[in-house]
Amino acid sequence: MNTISVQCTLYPTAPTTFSGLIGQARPFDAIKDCDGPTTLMLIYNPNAAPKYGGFKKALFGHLSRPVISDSTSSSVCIKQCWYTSGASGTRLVYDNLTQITKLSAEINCLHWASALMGIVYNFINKHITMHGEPPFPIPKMRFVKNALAIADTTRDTYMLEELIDEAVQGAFVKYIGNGSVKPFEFTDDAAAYRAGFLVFCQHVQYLKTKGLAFIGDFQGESISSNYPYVVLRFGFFRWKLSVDGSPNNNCIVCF
Amino acid sequence: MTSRAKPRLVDQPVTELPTMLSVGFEEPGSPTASDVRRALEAQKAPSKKKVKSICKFYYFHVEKLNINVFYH
Repeated sequence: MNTISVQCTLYPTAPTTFSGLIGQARPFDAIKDCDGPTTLMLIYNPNAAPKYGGFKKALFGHLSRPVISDSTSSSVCIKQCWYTSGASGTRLVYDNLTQITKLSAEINCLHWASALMGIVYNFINKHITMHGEPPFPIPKMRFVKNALAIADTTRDTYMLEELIDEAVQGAFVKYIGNGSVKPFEFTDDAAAYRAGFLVFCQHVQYLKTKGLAFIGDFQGESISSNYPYVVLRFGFFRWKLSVDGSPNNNCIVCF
Repeated sequence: MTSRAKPRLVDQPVTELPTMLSVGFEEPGSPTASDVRRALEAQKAPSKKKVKSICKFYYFHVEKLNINVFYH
């Protein structure tokens, strides 16, 4: 067996609200802004074939006890940022110091994205309180919970995310890409409905942030196709629109 | 062949939203455009000085062992 156990200090990202972020108006610190550090074992196979994204690679493993997720599952997705070596052309992970900077920015994006989704549900709940339940289902969506983890001995740094199990939670769907806010077209009615809801979310976020921010690149898995409950894995936070100032343009820039 | 311009942040008036769309979104006590902008502008990548201070605290052994660290 190639599985190893690494003792880590885990810094779970503390939940926040949009008004909390606005009130603080300061840079994010994944360590200081965590929900209480905790020590546990990270168990994974470092020799397993990782999944490579555009700039992060992912391995799968589990924690010695469930901390990140509300559920009893201790499974996690273990992520690190990578780059292509100029000399060998191979993919290498960044050193620990660079890793902490890049992963903190990633965690901050999820931090803001969660807060921006909170704006939408506050808006919806307020209207339900005033006008009653609507005659159509409202998808329940949230972003994955996550944490920064630093190995106690080697100081290797990882971002841990609550694992979305496609076998349990449905197929991974990209709803809105990162190059445009126009959603993808779906033949599946339920997916199209969720994509439409995410467009609505973007408009609420855009208006509530006075035209300064909304979430782009919505991707995730749905637990049920009929009554959609979606866990969003990605969702890069974009801000400062340009051109005509409306959300319907392709010029979006992330920090 | 034209060179591809690096995406840049564009300043735009943030207080002038289309009136029709803004209806129902303005609530007493909700953050102003300046509040939102201030919070967003604080979300910049940490400076090298800040990273070094984090590293000094969390990676004391790096200095102790005199390991070379490269920024990519």
